[in-house]
Amino acid sequence: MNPFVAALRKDLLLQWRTRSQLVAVFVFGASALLLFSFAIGPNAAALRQFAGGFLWLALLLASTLALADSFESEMAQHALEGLLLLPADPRALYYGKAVANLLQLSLLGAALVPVMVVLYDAGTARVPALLGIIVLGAAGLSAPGTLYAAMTAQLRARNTLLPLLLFPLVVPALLGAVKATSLLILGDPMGQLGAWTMLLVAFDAIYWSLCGLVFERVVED
Amino acid sequence: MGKGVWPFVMAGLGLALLAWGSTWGLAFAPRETYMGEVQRIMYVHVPTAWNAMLVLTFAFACALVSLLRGGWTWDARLEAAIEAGVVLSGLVCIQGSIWARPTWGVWWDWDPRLTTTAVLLFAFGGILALRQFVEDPVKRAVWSAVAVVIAYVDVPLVYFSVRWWNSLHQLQSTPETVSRAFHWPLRINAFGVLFLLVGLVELRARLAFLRREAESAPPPPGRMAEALGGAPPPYGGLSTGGER
Amino acid sequence: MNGAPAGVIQGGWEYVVAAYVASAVILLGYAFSVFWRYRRARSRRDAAV
Repeated sequence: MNPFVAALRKDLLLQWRTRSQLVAVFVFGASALLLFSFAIGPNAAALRQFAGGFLWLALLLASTLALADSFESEMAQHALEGLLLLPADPRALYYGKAVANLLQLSLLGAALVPVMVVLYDAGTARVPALLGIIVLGAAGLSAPGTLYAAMTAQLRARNTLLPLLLFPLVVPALLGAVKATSLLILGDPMGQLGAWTMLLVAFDAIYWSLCGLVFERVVED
Repeated sequence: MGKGVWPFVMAGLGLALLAWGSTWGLAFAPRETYMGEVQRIMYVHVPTAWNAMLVLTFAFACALVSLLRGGWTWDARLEAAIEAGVVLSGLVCIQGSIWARPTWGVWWDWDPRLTTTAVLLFAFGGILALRQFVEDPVKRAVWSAVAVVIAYVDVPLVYFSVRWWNSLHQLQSTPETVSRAFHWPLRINAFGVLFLLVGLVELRARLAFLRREAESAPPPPGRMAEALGGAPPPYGGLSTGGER
Repeated sequence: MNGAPAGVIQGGWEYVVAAYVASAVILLGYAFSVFWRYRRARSRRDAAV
């Protein structure tokens, strides 16, 4: 079997077995959305205007939990070293994990959309486009996120270091995702959606290749 | 790692140039038409910004060499360059904020270059934090080099995304061109900061190298010689009592 | 100084001073920090030899 497919299968299986954790992360994201709305107050127009931003903030915060969790099993009983001893390219390990994280974050994002629609009165008719933006944004989070999760999982201060390293890095993806989502919710009279989508695609392309390239150095002993 | 006093000379020269350039800019350069005296902040702000980018680019180069070649020299330089980059980026943000207040009436005007510098401050500050928390020196070197490469590649992306994001709202921007009368104090200060940096990065790199040596040092020779039955340590030491 | 037309920033020396003082404090402070840490590490290394 193709090592990438094997790694992906392993990670999807792990995620399925720990799906209660994903539910907890979803609840965290949903409560974040609720708390953000308290910061604005019951001003329907303002809530609608900022809904896109809050959705992505909630997803960003939730992703630090999900990404850190994704390396939990590798840290137990030196499983990571065991995996690296296998005669497979470590890059397959990375991409398997990153794609599994991408799927998980996309699922999380999609699940938070109804919460956003209800709390912020922020729906859109262009549902496929919204889902596309969610996948692209989740990809922007999961590529560097998986790399940094692999690093910080081996450290004491992992819970602080992962967001500390990740957040400044993903600013372009965050901006692109927030703008694109807001345009879908509020309307796009000047047709800017394409430009922001291109930014997301560029960010994803660069980091999915770069992080895969350096992963081996990060986990070698 | 190098020896010699040249870094001290460089740093001293840099400070002297800064004193000269700043005095010129403060006291003798002509007043700008629209911005008045506040424009004089540019004589420290622009040189600091140029050098911040320069030292972070040097950090990127050190990271690449460190990953491809290994060895403690380039890792030491990497550590020095990241630290200097964080200090300068922080200073740029402070200067930019002080500039923005009388100019736009707010403490932050979301100028793309300034905002990118703020993101860089957090990105490289995080990498400094990473270095503090990794105990294995080899992992520390590799991981921070990887992190620097990843953060540096992000710079153009951050800049363009903030610029597009900003262009939809903001009408003003920090002036791009500086007229000729203002060139000299700017150039002098730019070289001043550059020379100061070169000296400080070299010293800081030597410091990092010394720390690496101390980390991997064998036990002090006095004890070892004694254990092997040789002379007791010259600086005195624990009484060996009944150990014979 | 003559009366300035509208759109010109008046005064502002306190901001200029603040910027220069902040720059001096941070640059000099960092320089001394590096000097002292380096001196300390050197003397520690020389004592251990």
